[in-house]
Amino acid sequence: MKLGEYDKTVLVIGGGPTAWEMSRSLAQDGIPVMVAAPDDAERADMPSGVEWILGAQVTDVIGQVGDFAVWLKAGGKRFERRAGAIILALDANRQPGVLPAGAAFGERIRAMTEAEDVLFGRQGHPSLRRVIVLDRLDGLSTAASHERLLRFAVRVQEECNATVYVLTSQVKVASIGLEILYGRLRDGGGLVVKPDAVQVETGDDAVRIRFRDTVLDEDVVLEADMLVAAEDEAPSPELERLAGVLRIERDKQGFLQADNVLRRPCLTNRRGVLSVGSSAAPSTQWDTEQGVTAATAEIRELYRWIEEEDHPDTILYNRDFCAFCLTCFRVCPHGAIHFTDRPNFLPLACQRCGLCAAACPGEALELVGYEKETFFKTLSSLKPLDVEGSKRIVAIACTKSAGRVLNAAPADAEIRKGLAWVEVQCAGTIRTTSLLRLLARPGLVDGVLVLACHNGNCRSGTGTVVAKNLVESIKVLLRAIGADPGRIGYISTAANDEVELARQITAFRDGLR
Amino acid sequence: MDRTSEDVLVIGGGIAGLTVALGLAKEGWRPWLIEKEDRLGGHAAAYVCKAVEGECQRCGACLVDLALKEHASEARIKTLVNAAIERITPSGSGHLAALETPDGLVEQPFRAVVLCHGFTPFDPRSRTNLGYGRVPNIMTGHELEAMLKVTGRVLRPSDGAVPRQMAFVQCVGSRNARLGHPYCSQVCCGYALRMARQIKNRLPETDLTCFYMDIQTYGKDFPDVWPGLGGEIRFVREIPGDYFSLEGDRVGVLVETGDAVEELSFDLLVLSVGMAPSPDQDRFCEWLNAPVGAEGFLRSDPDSGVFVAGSAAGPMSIVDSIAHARAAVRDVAGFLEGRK
Repeated sequence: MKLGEYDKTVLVIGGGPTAWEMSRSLAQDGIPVMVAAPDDAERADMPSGVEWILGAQVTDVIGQVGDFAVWLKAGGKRFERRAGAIILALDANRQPGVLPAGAAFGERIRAMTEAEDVLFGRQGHPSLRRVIVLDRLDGLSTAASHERLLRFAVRVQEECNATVYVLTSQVKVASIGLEILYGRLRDGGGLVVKPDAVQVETGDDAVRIRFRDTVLDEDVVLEADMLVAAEDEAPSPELERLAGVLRIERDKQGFLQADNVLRRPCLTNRRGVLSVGSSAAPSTQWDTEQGVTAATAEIRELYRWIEEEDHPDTILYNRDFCAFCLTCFRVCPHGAIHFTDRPNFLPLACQRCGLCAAACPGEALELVGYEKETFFKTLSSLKPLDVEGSKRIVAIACTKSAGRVLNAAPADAEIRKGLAWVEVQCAGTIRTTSLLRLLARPGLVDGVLVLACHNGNCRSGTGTVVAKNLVESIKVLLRAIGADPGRIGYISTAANDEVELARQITAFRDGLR
Repeated sequence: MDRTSEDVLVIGGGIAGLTVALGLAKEGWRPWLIEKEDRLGGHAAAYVCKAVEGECQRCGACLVDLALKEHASEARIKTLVNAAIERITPSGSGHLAALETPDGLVEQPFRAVVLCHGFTPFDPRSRTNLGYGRVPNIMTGHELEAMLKVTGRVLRPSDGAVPRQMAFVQCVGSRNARLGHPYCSQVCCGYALRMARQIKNRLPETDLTCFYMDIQTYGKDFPDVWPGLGGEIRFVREIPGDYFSLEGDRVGVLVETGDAVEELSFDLLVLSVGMAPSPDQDRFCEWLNAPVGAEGFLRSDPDSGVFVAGSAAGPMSIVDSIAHARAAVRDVAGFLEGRK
């Protein structure tokens, strides 16, 4: 596969409503779209001008934004295509919650997807008088699952003329339009109960449910023609494989919007790889619409950035020191290193965190603007001011959080008392040698601090964890040689939290011997 | 295409307005950004970081700071603070805005207007039974945020003592059709419980109670946090109706438990006030003929070049406002380029 050709085609992965919306939004903006749909069902209403590849599986991807080489498998053939960006738009996998003991799916107890087919399918509406909708009862439903639950319940009420009982522990209405939908359910005679100790009995003619109503504090028995189990949005099973192929992070549940607030609503750890709708997170219709439109805005901005800005090298590489150990490739959080006979640093993908350079055991790499020697010179010239009665602290601060706070604070602020600091692109790039050099100046430096971002708020994703581990390992080292481990500290902070950072720096200073 | 300064007026310099203006500037447009206060950032600039023990709680308050930093280095945005909008009238195919700026009245035509005037916190004084302003030591969630942000501590307003029993009351001004607020404000469960966790972290001895109807799934951290919350906070499924002052400036409330009525009392009680449409909305509605949605907030009218972004369109969190504003950038750019 060859890289180096700019192609604006966006590869959308998915074949359902989200992929459809996504490709339509891009096509409207004149962006060429290719859809890799995992199933091979043709749809009548595919947006025009969009290339649909049915039954397609993405098996391999290399490259960077504007220049991805993608291997696809479809119709028994394997072939290569080019794309400028990739958007994952697979719909959720719907799974019913666990039924109470004694209950089993059958004619009277159905999962919601199946119930929709039975009640609103071609056969028309069977005659029903009462329907129970049973939600999961641990309070962990989402607005997305309740949007579907409420729509279903209102539809049963309005189209089947049946009475609906919704059993849930927390009504989730935190999305635009849901409280009104909830009101429509109640106005139509629907009853929402918050039960405990639910028991289900299935008879020939009805399903009976016993529970304790936690609001009325009474035992209740309800009888209905059908019990419908609400479904959660689980990640599409294909996401795990694709996350591996694309080297993108997932959250604990397996969705692609990793637990990092900086990537909301559609970004991933790789520039030019986006996720929308239920590929990103459990999504209401509103969430999906915003995600799709925001992703289109993101693609437009990325392409403009590629076309209008210069993209010089971000990493200086010294082949003489390279052991071809793949460490850089492994630690890069942004998929910005492509290995051939040497590591290639892709300037459009690199987000300038410098984690690769810090981790390189041969010191073959340097982040442009943060060359090692210059940095060491700055470090050794750092002189914390002697303030009456105060210890002297040197800090290495992430420029994204603590650096911002320290620069914004007035020179005479408590937080800056006896403190000198140097900024780095990411606290994860701090090297053991830098910290040891600082600690080796006991006449000048009483304490050394590493100031990083909070976990989940690190632009490089892993930098903050790397920094924290580094400080821990140096504490172990200091203890081993009989030195005071209290001389080094780790504090995480945010760019808007001067008060708390000052409190923690003061606590560290007060703890110094 | 010639991208001139006469193209877009962004009204409101909160997180949504900043995001829209920055996005349009990156697309090469030269938006005007009008803010009535003397600083940008809106409500969210006053919110505190809610990280607990080095773990980001994804509240997004720090993202405002990020947007402000980006704004400072973006020359394509013409920013006017301390500026009011005198009126907006139709002009040709666009809108003529008369702006009251510190340098005098400016009349300027625009092709598109993006309404990012945000929300107004529900005013608890409008419901006298809530006791706000009458009973000491009842404060709003916004006031608690500001206190945490500025002092880093939680203290009783009446005597500066550390509260030993504290309560949060949810859904104040939300989920109430009689008030004309048929919506969940979306952010209150998140802010109250995140602050509660932070308080518990700093003051482990303080007992916390939460009065609620339903707890909303407020973030991706919710599944990790919710199962353990019951151990840290006492949850009472009822919104107290009456609030009164007790000895020692404690706050009393009555709740029904089974058949009995129980009196509970606290050192400090926090009203989780929801989001209401901004009072500015009516004027924009009148001038621009912008449609009002079922919840009472504004909707975009793309055909007339009127767009709404952020909490002017409905209650939403900081991160959702950013998403909404990012989406608006694409819609506005599409309109300006003559696409649908």
